[in-house]
Amino acid sequence: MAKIIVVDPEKCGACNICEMICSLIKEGECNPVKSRIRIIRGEIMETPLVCQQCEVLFCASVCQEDAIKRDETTNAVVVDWGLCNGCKACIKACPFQAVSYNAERKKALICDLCGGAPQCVDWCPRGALEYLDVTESSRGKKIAGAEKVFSLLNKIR
Amino acid sequence: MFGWQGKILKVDLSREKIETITLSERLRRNFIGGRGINVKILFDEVKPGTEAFDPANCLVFGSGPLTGTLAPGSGRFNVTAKSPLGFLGDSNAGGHWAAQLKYSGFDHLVIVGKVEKPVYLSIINGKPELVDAQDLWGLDTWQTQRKIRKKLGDSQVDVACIGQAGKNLVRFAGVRTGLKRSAARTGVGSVMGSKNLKAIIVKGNEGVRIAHPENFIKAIKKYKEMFELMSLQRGFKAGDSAGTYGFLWYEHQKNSKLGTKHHLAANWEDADKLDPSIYHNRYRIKMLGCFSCPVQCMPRYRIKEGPYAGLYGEGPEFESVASFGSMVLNSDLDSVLKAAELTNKYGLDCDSTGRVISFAMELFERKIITEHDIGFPLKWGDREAILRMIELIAKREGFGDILAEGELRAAKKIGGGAENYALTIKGLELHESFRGSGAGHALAHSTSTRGSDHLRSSHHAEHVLGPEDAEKFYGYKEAADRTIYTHKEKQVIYNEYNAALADMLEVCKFFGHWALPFCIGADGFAEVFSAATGIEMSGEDLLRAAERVYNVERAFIIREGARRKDDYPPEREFTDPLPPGPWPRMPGSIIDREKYDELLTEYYKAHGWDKKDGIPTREKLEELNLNDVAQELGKTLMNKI
Repeated sequence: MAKIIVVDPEKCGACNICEMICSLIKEGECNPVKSRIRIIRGEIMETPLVCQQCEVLFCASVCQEDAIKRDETTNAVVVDWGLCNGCKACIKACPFQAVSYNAERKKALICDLCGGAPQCVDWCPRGALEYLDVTESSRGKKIAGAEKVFSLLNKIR
Repeated sequence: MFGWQGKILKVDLSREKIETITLSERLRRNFIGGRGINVKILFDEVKPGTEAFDPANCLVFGSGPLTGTLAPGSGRFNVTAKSPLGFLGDSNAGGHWAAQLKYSGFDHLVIVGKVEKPVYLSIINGKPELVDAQDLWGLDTWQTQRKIRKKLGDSQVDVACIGQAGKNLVRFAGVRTGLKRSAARTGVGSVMGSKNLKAIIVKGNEGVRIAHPENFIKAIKKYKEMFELMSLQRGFKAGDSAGTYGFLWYEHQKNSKLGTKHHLAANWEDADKLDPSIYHNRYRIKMLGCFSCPVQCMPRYRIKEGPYAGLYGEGPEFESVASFGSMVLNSDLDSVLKAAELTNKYGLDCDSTGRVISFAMELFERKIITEHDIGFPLKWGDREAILRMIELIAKREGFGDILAEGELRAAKKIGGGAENYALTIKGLELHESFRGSGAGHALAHSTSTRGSDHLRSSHHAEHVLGPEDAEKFYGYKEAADRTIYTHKEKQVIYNEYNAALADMLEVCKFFGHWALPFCIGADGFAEVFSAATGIEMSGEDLLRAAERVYNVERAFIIREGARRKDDYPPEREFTDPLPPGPWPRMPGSIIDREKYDELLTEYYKAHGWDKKDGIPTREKLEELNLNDVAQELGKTLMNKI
């Protein structure tokens, strides 16, 4: 079964290394704006923002071009750049503020789990990001983590 | 372009004119970035003898070619100017601001002139503009950042700003970003205040391009391995390190170099009362990192009970605890944290602030100043008095107005023998670890181009490395022996170049020679640098560039009037032995004058400078491709001598 990404913001040290590796390997330059995982910082709190692979996809539901689908193997959310028209509706719709944008190509950027070997998970020095097999425990952890992320996002922004 | 963005933003505040200048290939290849390019610009733009608060002084901000990339610990920046305390003003800070400067499209900012009414400089999405800041002018650094974010409706902009101390031209005021990141040593914040510049806001979309991403990642993985090894051997892991406070508190105490009671001692009998584990167990919430750094050495804390219940913040660094703890004999942790918080908010250098207060305490004990002069008694360890004095300094009120001048000038103003007790080198208050630290340490701090400092020329080889590692890295095992004078110039110069290199690349010294023996070294840095920028340089090339930068700095301070006498420790080091402590490592603890004289001469010779005053020779400067510097230096010397 496809693995899930689990975020624990309490472990996040706000170092932005995840942004650096993601944007570098996916978009060819070091640029947080082009990273599919973002760190949002408040005065005394911070959280990573990355696709939570929601059961019901807010992003797909607003996409007029039907460009957003799930990958069969990894269950990751994948944007078909051939269909994406750069309208940014998915960016506004995502409750986790997890959709980024490549302004040069005018395409939405959503974490695709690096095809099954998510690099941010490898590079996070704190283990704030985990890529786990689906078990009752890991699902519980994922939901708890996502709730914390959501709460922090709304406090910070 | 790869690595650098290739652009300098030049701001003339007097004319309210902003222009973009190309960052030339010459500057990039010869001086690399960060502190290196900053000081070259300073040398070129500021005429010798320019007063620090004169609008003609230049305030230069610099990031590095690796800033804003995956390179570990690369999110740093330097702030450089003619210092209001001495000669060279230069300070380095971490946090997240420098990365956003790169993403805004610029490597360096050069600010000259003075604007009539306070402004802030905003560089958002590559669009620089000067905006009225009169409503921010009197605010502290935390209030300033909050108000700016609210005003712009964007919680994610990064801000570098001054507080009341910078506005009031306190000579050791700093530039602050976040809750505690600080470029304050040597008083560059007051230069910013003298220009009526309140803050610089950065945020952008322009990424940093990498020439050879695969090689870049491979080279960085080597770093990672080295870092993991260091974590294992030194017993910490990312997110659980004790920070500088945890690492250094007992290391300094046990090596008899914990600056105590205005340097009258180097051990403190109450050191246990400020044991870092008390802080970590009671107040620490979490460890955080600078941009792109896996070490994450900065704690976030909150105090829940007691007189400062509700106090929260980041830090403290070891230096803050020494400055408001051992230096002033204050054994109350909560008030040490409060003192550090005040320096963060007012925008002060915690080192110089703690130092001048401890100086005043010594004068009070010696009855050179009285309660009448100060307005209240200033006894050792009086925590309320310490906090009150920090506020008076920041606001330049009462006796604080005198201390705001720095230890040297304050001593002159006070008179009555006060000058005999002021401890500065090149106008800068002594670094905490100075006294009793040994021959190499004394040479390093005394010759450091910005004044007494541990971040330019010294490394604790004399306290941390054993004889085998000393032989491996410095070529001789006596490098680890603090009582030995001969050949110490070798390790000081080695450290100068490695520290300068870290500042030129804008990487944290925790990955540089401070991590010895777990350091990837200049060769390792060269691999990362070459892969990022596409410019092939070896470790040797980079160290040569560091030598070049160090010579520009030496030329700068010579041009400003520095001579041999400015490369000496304070007189006390030669005459007053430190009292023995529980761990006396250096019997007698004084520096031998004759041996130091000889060592200093050897140091000058090893640098290729004239052996009388350490003036870089024309030959040396030309060898380093610094013909223009040689010319300028020659002109000044001909007119002066």
